[in-house]
Amino acid sequence: MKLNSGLVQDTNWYQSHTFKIGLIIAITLQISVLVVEYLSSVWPIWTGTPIILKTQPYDPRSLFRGNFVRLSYDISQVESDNASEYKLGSVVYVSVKEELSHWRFQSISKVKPVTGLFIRGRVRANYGNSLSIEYGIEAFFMPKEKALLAQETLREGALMRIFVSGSGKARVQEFVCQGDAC
Amino acid sequence: MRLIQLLKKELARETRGWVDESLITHEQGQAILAKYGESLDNDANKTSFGYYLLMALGSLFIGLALILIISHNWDEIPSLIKTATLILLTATTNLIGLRLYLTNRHQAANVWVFFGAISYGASIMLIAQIYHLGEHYPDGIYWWALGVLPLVLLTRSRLLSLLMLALATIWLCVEVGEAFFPASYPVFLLSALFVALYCRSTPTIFVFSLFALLVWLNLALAWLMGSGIHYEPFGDLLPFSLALGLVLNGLAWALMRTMNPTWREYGLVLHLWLLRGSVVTLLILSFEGVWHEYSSESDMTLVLSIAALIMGGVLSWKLSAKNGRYASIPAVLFSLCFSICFIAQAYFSSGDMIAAVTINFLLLVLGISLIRRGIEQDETQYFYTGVAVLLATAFVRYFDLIGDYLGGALLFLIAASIMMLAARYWRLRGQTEPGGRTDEA
Repeated sequence: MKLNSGLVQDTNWYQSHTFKIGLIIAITLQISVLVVEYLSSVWPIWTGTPIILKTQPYDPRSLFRGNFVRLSYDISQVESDNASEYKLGSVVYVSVKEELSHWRFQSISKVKPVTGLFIRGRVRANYGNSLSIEYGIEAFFMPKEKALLAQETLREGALMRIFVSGSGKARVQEFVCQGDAC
Repeated sequence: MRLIQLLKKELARETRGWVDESLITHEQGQAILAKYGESLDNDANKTSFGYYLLMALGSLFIGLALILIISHNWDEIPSLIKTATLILLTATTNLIGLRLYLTNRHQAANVWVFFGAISYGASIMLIAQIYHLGEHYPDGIYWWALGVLPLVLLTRSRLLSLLMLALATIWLCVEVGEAFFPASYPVFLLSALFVALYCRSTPTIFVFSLFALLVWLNLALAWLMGSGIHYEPFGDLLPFSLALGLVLNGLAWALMRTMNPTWREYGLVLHLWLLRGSVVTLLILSFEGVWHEYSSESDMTLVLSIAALIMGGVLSWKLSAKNGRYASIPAVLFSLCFSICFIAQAYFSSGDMIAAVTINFLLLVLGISLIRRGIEQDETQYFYTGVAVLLATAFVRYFDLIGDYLGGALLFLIAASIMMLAARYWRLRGQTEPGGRTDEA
């Protein structure tokens, strides 16, 4: 390649097979990213088990993603005697069991459980015997007015329908509650 | 390398006037402008550049409209239709761009591919919104930047390079904000540098990429000190950064020596920004209080940082030696003075004062050499920068004394002596050199 190639060389480059094939691959890469994002979003909903989790919505805002309510679940903060052994950012599996109206925390493990329903998450903080975990289901997007209304009316807590795939990947589906925000 | 390189468009306009007035021939005009990478015929590009710029801005506005749709949450339309529409929009805009490239309409193609890149990013965010993805959201920005990267390398478009750099830098900021390390950030910088060095003349992207690399290296050191789990900023980042600055300065001088006019321009722009940066840094470090606040973490890190400063100085000197004394002497002097500062600060009880006095001495020498360089090379910018450096040093030292009043007075007297001796030396040298000027100032 010539340094600072002029227009003549540029024209040759744009006509070359490398450029044409490269551009087609680059466009395909973009489309693939979008398709993979879509499939990974809907896969737990198509194949997963629906469960109900208790949550509390708060603080709707995001510069890049629009308006949403941030959801803090009962299982977002869990107690563990060996909390300090869990590194920040490490993957954990939280087993849940059904009790009355919704599912509750049962146990936490670094390795994938063989039986039972579990959700895959990442440790975001640990203090004392308490672990803060994120599961990728902490945001629920809705128009600004609805988001504010949800924050107001569901201050005491709400229930969310979640789909959990066999690998523990969770996807939030909808509010299970009464009120205008649902 | 002369500052006139930065005024090459104005020079081209003047030269066209000289050719029109028959002061010089067309061939002479071409030969003059070729030295600066310009041509008498470049004027025709103006109209198409204006069209290109407005179309690019239009695309950006459409992109902003798309992002506003994100904020509105268009939840009345079924999810699958929304997703399919977004993917289709991204594919269509990019394919129109591809078709325009194949028909040699490069600027229009660049605008369409740019719009495609905006649409691609908006699609990532919208799909995340449609399916309530609450995962680590900087990943969305990362995939956006990564999707633009191959287009930058293929199309060599400055517009796409700027978009990619902006996205990658936003990603760096949010990733650091979320206490993660953006390990692959240099990939974006190196891609932008490749375009700047080998494909397009774009000093802004070149200089930005180098300074961004400096920031990333600092973050990487802080991350390493935190055992790769969290950031642990430490005092010795300062000497490491100064060492890297010295190397960049050597690189700037080496670029100014090359035969390639674009690279020469890059070298000059980089040199000017480093000069501005060094004046500000030296003024900050000239305060005794700053050195009092500064603390080195451990002996081993200090030894490494001093070694980095010395190596940075040697490398800078090697790279700039062929450019003459105004290039090579500051490299050695800066390296030496910084090393003295950090050693004194670490091992002597009055180290803070020694360091501050050394930096003030460095400011003085920098100011004098800039004035002299401005006069010798007939470059007013260096001359006035030198005057500004000396006046700024005098101003800050008058209000922030080092030591007591007598100490401050002594410093001013020493500074005055150095300046007068320098003036006297150049006057004598001017008289002894054949054709030397004695009354430049």
